[in-house]
Amino acid sequence: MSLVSGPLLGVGAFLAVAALLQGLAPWPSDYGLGAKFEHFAENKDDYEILFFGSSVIYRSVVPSVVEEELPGTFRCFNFGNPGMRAFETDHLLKEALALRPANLRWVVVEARHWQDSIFPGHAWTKRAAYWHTTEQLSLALQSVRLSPAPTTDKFFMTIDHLLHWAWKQTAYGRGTDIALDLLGWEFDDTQKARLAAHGGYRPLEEEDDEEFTKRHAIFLKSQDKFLRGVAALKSASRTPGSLEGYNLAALETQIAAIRAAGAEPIYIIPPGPPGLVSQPAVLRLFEAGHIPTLLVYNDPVRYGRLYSIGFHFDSNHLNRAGAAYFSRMLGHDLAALITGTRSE
Amino acid sequence: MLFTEARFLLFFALIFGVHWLLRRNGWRKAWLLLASYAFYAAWDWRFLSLIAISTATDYIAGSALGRCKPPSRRRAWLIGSLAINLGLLCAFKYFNFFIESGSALLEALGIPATPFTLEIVLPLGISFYTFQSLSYTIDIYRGQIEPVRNPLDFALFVGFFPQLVAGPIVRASEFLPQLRTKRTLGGVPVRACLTLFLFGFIKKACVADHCALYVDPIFADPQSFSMLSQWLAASLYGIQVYCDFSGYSDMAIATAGLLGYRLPENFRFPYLASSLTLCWRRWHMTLTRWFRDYLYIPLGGNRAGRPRTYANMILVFALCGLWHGASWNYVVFGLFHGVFLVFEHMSRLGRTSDRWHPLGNLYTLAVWIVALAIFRTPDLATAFSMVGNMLGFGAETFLLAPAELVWLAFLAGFAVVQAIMYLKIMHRPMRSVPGWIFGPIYGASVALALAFANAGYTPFIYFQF
Repeated sequence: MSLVSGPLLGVGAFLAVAALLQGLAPWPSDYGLGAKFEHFAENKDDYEILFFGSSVIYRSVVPSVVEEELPGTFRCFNFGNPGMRAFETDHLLKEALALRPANLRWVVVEARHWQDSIFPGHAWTKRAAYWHTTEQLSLALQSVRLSPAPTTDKFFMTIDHLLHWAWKQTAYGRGTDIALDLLGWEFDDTQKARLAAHGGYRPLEEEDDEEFTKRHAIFLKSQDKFLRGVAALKSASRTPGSLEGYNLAALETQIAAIRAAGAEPIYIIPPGPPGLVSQPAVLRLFEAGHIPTLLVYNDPVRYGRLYSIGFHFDSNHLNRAGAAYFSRMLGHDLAALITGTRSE
Repeated sequence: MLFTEARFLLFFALIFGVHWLLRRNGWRKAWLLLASYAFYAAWDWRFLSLIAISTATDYIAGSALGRCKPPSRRRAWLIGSLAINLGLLCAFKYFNFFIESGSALLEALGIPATPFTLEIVLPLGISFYTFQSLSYTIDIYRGQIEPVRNPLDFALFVGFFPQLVAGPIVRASEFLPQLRTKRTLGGVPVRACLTLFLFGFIKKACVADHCALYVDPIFADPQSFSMLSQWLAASLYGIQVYCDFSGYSDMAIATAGLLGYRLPENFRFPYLASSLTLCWRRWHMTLTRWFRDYLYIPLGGNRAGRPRTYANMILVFALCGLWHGASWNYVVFGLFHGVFLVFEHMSRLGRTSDRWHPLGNLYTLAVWIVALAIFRTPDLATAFSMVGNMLGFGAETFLLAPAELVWLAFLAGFAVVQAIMYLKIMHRPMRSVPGWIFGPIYGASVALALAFANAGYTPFIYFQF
């Protein structure tokens, strides 16, 4: 009897303790990710507009400036975070919506491809593991299945996703974080307050890390390279592309989740670097009606100032002045959407 | 592939399942050899050739020694085996060290030298399997064992994956007889093996890898830290290196045990020893017994008068230090221990019994920790500077920062756990509990161990040796 019951009870105890620990695991603290979510959880009913996306959103959208352009008293919060791709964005968005923010009206999401692989900069870190819920795993595996990558690559991508999912389920390596969290030893209180004060936005100029200073210096030294990239972006085709391999189901789930929360999705291509977004596919999505609203800003012909050296911190990100300029423009466009006066 | 990685669990599940499904002993051994080479190839398949050379050399030398009688020919076979094995070890591990040290010596003598060094990758586990393979030939030469007939048995003895890359260094007389008889699953102490593996995992992933977070920055720049911080770092490094290596040994013994093979014990609470002599008898036991049996005793051991005994002790420990790595730090580490062991021998302090003695333990730990500072620092200049600081000659500040008190508490907690384990307070109750109690305790412990592991990838320290 105990030959079977012992191992079975062992597996049961393992799963129960792992589930408990997983439930207790705090959010990763990378660039204030956990601090932002905590702040939002405490003040969820204060916001009408949320922004989600990568560092391009994080460093470009200044909520206070956007708010100035909006009619009435709308409040915005920027959930952008460096390296955040579609599946992580989707997880964060769904977690935020699960809090049932009472006044949420608009959810602005950076339009990106639903990548089949895990962002290499995050692979095998808790940052890549935390969003691997069973639901996200299932969507990610759909992307792998649809991917045009060779079968062997798809096999390893599947294994990667499964291992990250197992990591998430077992709260692997999160014990210290859980203990510190339970003890109330929050190390990022200042960060939380600072991010809260600026609606989740933080300019690159304020980062203490030397890496950013170096990045800025390199950008200033290699302006030609940036300008060549801008020139290439100017001449890039703007015709809608193919949707082959695109995970439409994931997109539809996201849109349905936003609408179920009583909000309306707006997809955005921010003034990022050339090649960052799969623009032709996104344009096709809009044209085919899969995306209800799309705002496109990565067009140096139309938005030349957004691609000027003086508005950039590095080749990928706007500086404080650039972010303020862009946010005014974005606020203006959102105002037009809200009042129903936007013509395109 | 590390024992602490998820892919090892998948790998081992496959090895374990197929091993016990195969009916014939020969097939099982072939399967284990294949698995062992695959395990090694996961690191770098090219260096499998070195294992093959070492295996072939000692198999041929062993067979020849078994056949021939004239002492001169026997000696020639032994020297041949030593030359090839130690030649490979020197070429891959010590070539640059000897060249650089030689040219530094020439320059010190005023003779200009242009050192010629090579970009050599240290083959994983070379120090371990070379010693293991050599011991077989030496034992046959001494007439202590008979040569093995089946090359598969010998290849598995050298390449058995649980102990291939970081020991324990197994003797042929311990392992080869186990290969002759078919293992039975019923004879496997599953509960003991699973518990030992979990203990090993906890030591490595939860303790050693967390200690590294505090230790590494201090050893990278000891001058920027206070005297007590440096003592704390060296002490925590002591925990790190012990938990890292004994954790590996535990997992190796457990893994082998689940396949039906018994590997020798490698650590027996060395930090609770009351003298350095006893500490070395309990630390990396399979290496110290190798040096004792194949170097110290052939040199005359302690039977050739006091001066010779002391010289032997110092020489053996200098070489034991050098075994750890191609750096003068390791040689000085070995010499440092050698000198203290001689001191203990002279003063008879080293002849204390296994009974724990607080003052003896304190003295042992102090010497061990200072020696580890030499062992861990990147070069001798930093080593001497750090030891100087620890002894109060140079550190600008004395105190610990408040955050470091957590680590001090960790140190105290470790000592308490060691004492509990040494006294075997939990052994009997855990051994006698029924499966329906053991199962949930084990399952919950595994979940907690995974959660409290350091998720960053950290190879075992002894892989570099």
